[in-house]
Amino acid sequence: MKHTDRINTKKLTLCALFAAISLTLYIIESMIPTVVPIPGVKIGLAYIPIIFLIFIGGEWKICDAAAVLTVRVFLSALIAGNLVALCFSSVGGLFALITMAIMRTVIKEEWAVIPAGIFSAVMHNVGQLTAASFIYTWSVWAYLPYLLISAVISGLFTGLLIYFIVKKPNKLVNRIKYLR
Amino acid sequence: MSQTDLNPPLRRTRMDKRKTVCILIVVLIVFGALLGLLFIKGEKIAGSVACIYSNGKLIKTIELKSEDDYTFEVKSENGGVNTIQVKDGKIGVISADCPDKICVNTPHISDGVQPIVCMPNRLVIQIEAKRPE
Repeated sequence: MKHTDRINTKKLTLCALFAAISLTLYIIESMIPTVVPIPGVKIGLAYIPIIFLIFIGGEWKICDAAAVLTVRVFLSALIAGNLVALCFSSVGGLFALITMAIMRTVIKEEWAVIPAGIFSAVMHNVGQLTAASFIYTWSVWAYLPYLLISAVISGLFTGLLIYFIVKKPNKLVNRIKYLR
Repeated sequence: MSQTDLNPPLRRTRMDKRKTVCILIVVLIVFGALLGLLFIKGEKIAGSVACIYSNGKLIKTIELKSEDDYTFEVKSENGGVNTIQVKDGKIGVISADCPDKICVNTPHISDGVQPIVCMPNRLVIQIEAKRPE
């Protein structure tokens, strides 16, 4: 397929599909009961489609993933029904996206997904706490150590998952990759 | 994949270096987090006063050592209600109508750095050093 700068229909549809997948994972995640009494500890399922889109390559650019993430953040805030959640996830999402974009441009190989998963999860939590310390009080930073450890673990698993998909793409992944 | 075949030895050393840097950063993050945990567990605040913030504004201060046991409710702007209990010099949330119940599951606090936060109801209970009045 010839590459054009204008977004084509196939890509637009896939973007919407990935936003829907991300949103569904977000809802599933919110149904899972919290294991530890620390606010903000999450598995990060909603980030799986975003990281996938960033690292799949082919016809996909970072701005496509950014668009999907933006749609997901706004729709999840609509579902959750509060502005505070929108504030947290948008700042966290921005931090995570910048981290992933940097990792993607610095390291071209596939294994970049694993550290990118970890670092973006860590930066997401840092971003959330930055937003939280403005909305609540400074004392929320006391949660940072717990959040960092949980982010490293969950980010590692998310990164590994995407690594196995991107390293040996099957027919379906290749079709998405080159928009065939 | 075809790129790795060009000039393999140079390519490999460069790759290893970046991998090492990544692993080092992860180890640093974990190590820093563990140090932070030790600090948070060890740090005690003298003359503890519990400050209750709703919506980022201080609404109530309680001197935990001198108060008797009692419970009260805090209503937030969006209509959420948290029931806060003061007992044996400790403060905690015993019931709330928020969906995640993280604030209820957090153990009662008395003198630590770690606050109790209810994200949906925008409630923070934190221990502060006694303020000069």
